[in-house]
Amino acid sequence: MNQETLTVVAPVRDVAKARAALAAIAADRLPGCGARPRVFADPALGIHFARLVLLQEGGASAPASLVFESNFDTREESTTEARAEQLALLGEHCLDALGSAFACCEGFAPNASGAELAGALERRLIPATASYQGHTQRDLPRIRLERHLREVLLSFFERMPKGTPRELYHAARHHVRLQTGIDPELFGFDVDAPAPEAPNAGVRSKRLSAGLAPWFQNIKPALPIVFRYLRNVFTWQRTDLEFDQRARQEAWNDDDRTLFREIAESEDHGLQNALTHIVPLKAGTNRLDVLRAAHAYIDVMAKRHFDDIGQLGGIPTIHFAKWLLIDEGKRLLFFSNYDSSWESYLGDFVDQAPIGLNLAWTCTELYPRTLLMALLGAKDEERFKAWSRAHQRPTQVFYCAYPDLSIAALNNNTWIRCGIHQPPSNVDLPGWFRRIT
Amino acid sequence: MTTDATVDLDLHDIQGLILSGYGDKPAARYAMFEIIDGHAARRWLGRLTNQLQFGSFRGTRRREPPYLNDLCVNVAFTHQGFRALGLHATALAGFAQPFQEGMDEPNRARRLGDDGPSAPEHWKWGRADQGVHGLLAVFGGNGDAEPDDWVQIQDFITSQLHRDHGVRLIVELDTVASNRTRRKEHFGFRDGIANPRLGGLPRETEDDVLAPGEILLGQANGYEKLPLSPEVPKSADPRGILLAAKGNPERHDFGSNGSYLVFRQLVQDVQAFWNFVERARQDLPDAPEGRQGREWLAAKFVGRWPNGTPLSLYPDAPGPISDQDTDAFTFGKTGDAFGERCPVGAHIRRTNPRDTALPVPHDPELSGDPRDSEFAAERLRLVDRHRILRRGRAYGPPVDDEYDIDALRTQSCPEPRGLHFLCFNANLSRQFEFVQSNWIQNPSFAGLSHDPDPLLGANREVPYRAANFTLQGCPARRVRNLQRFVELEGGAYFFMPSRRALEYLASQGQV
Repeated sequence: MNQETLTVVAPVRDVAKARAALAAIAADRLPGCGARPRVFADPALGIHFARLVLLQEGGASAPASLVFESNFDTREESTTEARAEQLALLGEHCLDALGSAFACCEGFAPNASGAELAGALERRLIPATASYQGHTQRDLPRIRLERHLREVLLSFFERMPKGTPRELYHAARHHVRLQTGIDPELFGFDVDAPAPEAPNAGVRSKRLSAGLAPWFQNIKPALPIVFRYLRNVFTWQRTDLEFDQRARQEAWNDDDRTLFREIAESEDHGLQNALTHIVPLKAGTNRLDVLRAAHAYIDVMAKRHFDDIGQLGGIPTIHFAKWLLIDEGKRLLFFSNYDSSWESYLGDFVDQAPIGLNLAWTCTELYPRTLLMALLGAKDEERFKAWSRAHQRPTQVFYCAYPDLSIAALNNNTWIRCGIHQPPSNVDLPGWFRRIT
Repeated sequence: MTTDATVDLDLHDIQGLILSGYGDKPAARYAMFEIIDGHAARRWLGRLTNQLQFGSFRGTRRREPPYLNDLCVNVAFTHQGFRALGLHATALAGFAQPFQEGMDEPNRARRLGDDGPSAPEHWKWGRADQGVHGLLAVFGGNGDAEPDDWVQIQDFITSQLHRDHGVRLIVELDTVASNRTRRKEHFGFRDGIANPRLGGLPRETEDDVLAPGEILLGQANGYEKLPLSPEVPKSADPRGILLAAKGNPERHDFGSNGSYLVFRQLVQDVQAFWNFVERARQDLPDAPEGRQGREWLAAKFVGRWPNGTPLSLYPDAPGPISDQDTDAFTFGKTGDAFGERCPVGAHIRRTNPRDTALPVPHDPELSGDPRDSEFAAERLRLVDRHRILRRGRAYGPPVDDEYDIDALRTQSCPEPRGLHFLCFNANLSRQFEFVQSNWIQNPSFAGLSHDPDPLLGANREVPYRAANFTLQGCPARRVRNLQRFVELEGGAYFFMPSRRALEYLASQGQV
């Protein structure tokens, strides 16, 4: 099972109608935390995360775009086929909701059939310039099973008298075996089966302890671009504006304040949050070339080094992230799902991964000034955060299949589950017990 | 930990409460006021500034002059208050967004967990429509608080907050004499421990020193940057009362040497807390019996024994009190990286995780090995980005003067009591709000799954599946269905300006 991602961007004909359609989708919520729209919870879709965003830059009369993006499970090996299959499923299961939202867009017919909607969506697919996924290899049923297993184990241990770790472990394994016949959420779970595919400890440990080596190993394809534009990089360093939030904040008008309030309203309804961010590129085609090269580098690093293991460049709270260029390379769009609050997420960026951030965004407008594209920039904590917020947009519809599960907990649950299939050695057993907390 | 011993703070310019909790002054009262006439209030402020306690006393040893005034008085304003005083629009727009919006903004309230009975709609004071523009904090007395001390404080407040001065009293908040509380909060635990020290001040130890800019505007913070600060155009300060903004000669810095003050009135239900502890103890398979078990479980919730000694150092019984022990310890060095002594969800570990490996202490590959000293130093450095300087005082009489834990559980004492939680920080979002939302409220803090802070409790507006407290160990134990024993009755964000900023305000509108 793979996890794939897709993004559709379509120009909007009727902004008011599109806004009303999104409000209607958001209003039909599932109970519990997360303020989640019901429409994307259909198990047939296998959706981990999805969002619908209405992007309108430059006032109420400016052109607007409607964005749909999702992460979903698929058995298809080919990305193209996986997306086509997912769009067909969306056409079948979410026709009313997506149909009503996209009926306000160019290239979409009102009252389209499911197949027509899927076809129109497919024509508007946009590729990502870079993307990261924190937990491939685990589909929705598996994530839910592993979450439940941890709860089963904790509920068992909390009543158990003290004993040696080995005795307790065997008792727990026996308990789980019995529960598979009683507990519907554990039906079909085979204690004796080999541990399923997962980022194994060896691989993860190797990748996490590799330090800077992979960054050097993977930079080769980007070097020709770097050398070609070396002079530009130095010029930009001198001439780019030093972003000054003080001027910006003092210039905030009522529209800005309304926007920030709308963003805040969409945040912190569960453990996970969504970030939608859009920023124009600085002028000049060279910037676009440099940005593409930088993103290709980030993408390779993500795919070879960070995917699966639940951390991106030192940040352990990102479920997925992707960057896309829209409007013929004039604007950079960024989506991610992260754990905990915006302040904590941005703080992790500043404290753990300023270089990666600078590479990703240094070619965009008003980004705090960088040195050699990689240094300074995000290190200017308050100005960087202000810049991020200023270019953030509200996520009007946000769905997450497990809003109370952090990526660290999700991975932890996988390790716990693997320990049930494959009894840990005496050396590893205390570590396994520590995970059940 | 960031420290720069060469920083020379202008103590004469900084209000005293930022630099000291006035531990020698047992009596205190907070008066919230509304500005009803900006012109008159500015004139009053000019006179009041001469009576305020500034920080010069921190430049010398305790028994050397300059001494504290008989009455230590400090003043702070809300954003509405600065507006009512006629502060320049550029400065008003330059304050931090949380301060401009206020603590009662609905999205902020959800994030901070101020919901249910703690929601702003139930507050006694501090909501935007309740007109709190300023705070006058008055501290007095020596040794044991005498009735005369309270009279003196009351007389001072009455003499200051009246219509002729353009201000009107909204609410007065009393405290309980600090000699009576013996530094304990009402649940019976020693309080005020492990406050960080402010860089740039003379001090006896280099432990736990924060960069001055983590608390004061106009000083370099932990990122070695100047915090964003409200400024006025140079032309709006023709007499040059304010300092020039560093790096921008066209601006004068209104915020320099000031600090954001968080004020939250927290009411505590002491009996409910200890009754819950007793019920939870009975449900735990191997908790000690009776009083010993209650003390043990409550200590697990807090992370310290009632006398303040940390569980990480004294896992089985309270240790001898020593400020060095209670303040400066790390979980890694005490062999408590994984929470077997002080649970990872305990109150003191959430509010100051020290070297706890985040996000998951038990995943050394992902989070780093908490037993490695280099790693611990890096963790401490990152945690220092979120520290606050607490200046709170308890209010209401103790349920029992001896804070006997069984008396606290069994004696009914209906008078309201709690904590006036006050803290200073330079960045409300990164410091106070971060601690409250990411550490205290977060049910997934440090790899937990459904565990909010055991004292301050679960967020009720975000319906998480459960609210538990896990005791790490082999096997782990769990207390289920945590309740809330602390509710918020009122609160506001203030800014405590420097002497220069007060003089600048007073000079506005004068010809």
